[in-house]
Amino acid sequence: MKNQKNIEKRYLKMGYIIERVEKKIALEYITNFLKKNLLKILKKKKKNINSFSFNNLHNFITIQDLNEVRLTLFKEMNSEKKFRDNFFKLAKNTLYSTVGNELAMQNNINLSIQMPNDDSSLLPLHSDTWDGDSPFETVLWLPLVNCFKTKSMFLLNSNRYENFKKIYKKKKVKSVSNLHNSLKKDLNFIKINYGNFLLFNQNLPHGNVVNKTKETRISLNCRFKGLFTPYAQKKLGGFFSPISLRPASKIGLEYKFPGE
Amino acid sequence: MSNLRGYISSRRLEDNNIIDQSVQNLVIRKACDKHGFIYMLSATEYGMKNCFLMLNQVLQDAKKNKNDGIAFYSIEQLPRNLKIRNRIYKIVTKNKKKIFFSLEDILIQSEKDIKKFEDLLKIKFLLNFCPKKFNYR
Repeated sequence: MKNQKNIEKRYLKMGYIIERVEKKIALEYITNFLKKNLLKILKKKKKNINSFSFNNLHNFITIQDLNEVRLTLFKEMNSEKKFRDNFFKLAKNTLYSTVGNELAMQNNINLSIQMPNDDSSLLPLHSDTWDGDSPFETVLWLPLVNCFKTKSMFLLNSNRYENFKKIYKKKKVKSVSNLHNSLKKDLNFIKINYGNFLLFNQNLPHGNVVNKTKETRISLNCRFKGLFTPYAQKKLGGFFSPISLRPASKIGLEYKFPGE
Repeated sequence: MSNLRGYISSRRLEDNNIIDQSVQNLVIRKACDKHGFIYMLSATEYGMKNCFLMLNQVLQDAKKNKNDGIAFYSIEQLPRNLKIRNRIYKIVTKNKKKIFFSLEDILIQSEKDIKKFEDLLKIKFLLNFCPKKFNYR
């Protein structure tokens, strides 16, 4: 209970939390699934699985081939129900504490691959709510490598959000890159190691820049929201599916007045 | 072959419709295929009212030759403000880029096209003030 209060407090204050994954076995499943499939794509032998590191992926594929690799992996992982279940297990209790215990989960888990100096895979500064997501959503972000500096994603410090609103209101900002430059000093690159997950408030502006480190970043992300909270353009059915439903709600959904 | 950057909206269009982003992308992809344009993954305009930060970014990228033009989902994404529209037209006249409206299948690549297109837009805007029903008696 104490830990739960602490998580709530940090999430509200910072706009994000970093925690150890709750089920190590689920992380191992996810890591091995992606490694196996990558080795298959790269036509390498399965016995190399332990020595293969995601950090070095840029040594095996070119930026030109990256999108095809990404799409193949995306299709493989999202066609496997077990993959989705394991992803949820990584942070189930923390999600229950921060979002609710009746949850909707995004239908497809997203995959990001940021190779060093690749400017074709960028996600400029944005808030998901500006792009049609509900402000009730939260993002579970899982690094499969250690992330730091430009290898990671950035997030606006939540205590600078009021300042951001002032900048936006002044209407002097003309483009996305212009907005990014105005906020640069308030953006925080998240330092997070493999074995942990990040849960962040997607209403805060975030994004990534060209990875200037010498290592590749592979990360997964997926949105969660309270099942009965308002949806925006990303609807229940097409974009989200229920992942946990409590008995009282199940009874309520089935209820009919006598005689009906 | 021209590389066109898709441009979709996450808020109501000028005709008050909200179109699912996946549908907007499908329409752009199909229209680009038809004309032999290479469709570059869409930039999504932010949902805030009268916000064109993403459009301005795409225009900046066009000036830097990162694409050969912009593939809008529809003319209903265009701002009513002529000043902003003129910024869009400028990349056609100054930078020799293409502006394509996928749903309406309208391609703009010259000053003559712009003139014709602006006439169409002005009529569309004016129609909002015209009677909506006939009285047959």
